[in-house]
Amino acid sequence: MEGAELSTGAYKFLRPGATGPFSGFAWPTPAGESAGQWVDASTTRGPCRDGVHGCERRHLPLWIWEELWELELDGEVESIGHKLSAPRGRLVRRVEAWSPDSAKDFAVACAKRAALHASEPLRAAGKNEAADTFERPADLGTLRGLTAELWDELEVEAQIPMGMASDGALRAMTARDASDPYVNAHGSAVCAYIAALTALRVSGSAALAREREWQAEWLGRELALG
Amino acid sequence: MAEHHAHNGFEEVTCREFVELVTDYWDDALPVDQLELVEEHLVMCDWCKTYLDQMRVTVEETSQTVEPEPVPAATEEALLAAFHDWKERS
Repeated sequence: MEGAELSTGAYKFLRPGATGPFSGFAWPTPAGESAGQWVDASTTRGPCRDGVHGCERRHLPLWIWEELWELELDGEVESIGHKLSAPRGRLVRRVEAWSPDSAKDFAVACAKRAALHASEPLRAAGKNEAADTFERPADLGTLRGLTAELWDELEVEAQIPMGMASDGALRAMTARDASDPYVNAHGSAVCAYIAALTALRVSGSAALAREREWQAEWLGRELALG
Repeated sequence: MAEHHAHNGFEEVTCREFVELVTDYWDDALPVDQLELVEEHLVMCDWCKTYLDQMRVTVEETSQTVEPEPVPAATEEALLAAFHDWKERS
């Protein structure tokens, strides 16, 4: 695949200070209207020497950290699994809309998605009132309380997804109430993972893929990504 | 090398597997597909991320403070035997 086709629409999550989460590499940041300096894969260290890595919008939920940047890739761009890899790349602009607040919102949205997935086996178990609550939770604390109340009454088919959704609710509340950007971002990544795994548990791998699509669409819409 | 965990068509690396893979990860010796699974796990897992950070600090510190010395042949043989035995049993 040629670089020109994929150089726009590539993104990179980084740690604070535009630092690579795995390489520890400090990316040169844009100055004013100018993009950051080009970075060759050979100048980074650690397990990223084979290429400069970014991802497409659809894979953003898998790579969440505190900062989100638009990335321009140059040379032969390969799409490998959930990543894009190229000989060199540069940061074009920071996506300012990805912030502690949007991370909190994403965490809560994903926790509610996990609850939605868990509502199906609850309904199948005849727990319609609980299923209604899990489908449209007024607040995340309700999910925790209801899970504790119903736990011993349910078979494993409904129990496990409900427990996963309850864990998601706890992680989302922690992320929502924290003032540390790492906790906000990491909590949202965990909630997205829990929602995906709850979908997998209830409805199989196609549901997991659909859940990840939903999450990527949420990020694209809320962060106004091109 | 540890196999990664797969269930219902979904593949992931567990914490236990990460501990076995960390040296290969550090040495840039993982195949691309396994590297991706490891990094996806690190996004999610505070414990493994902390473990990796501790490894990184240890490697950096010891490389600056410890003079490399040749390993006596008997020691090398004993170590290799121990590793071999451990691999056989695991």
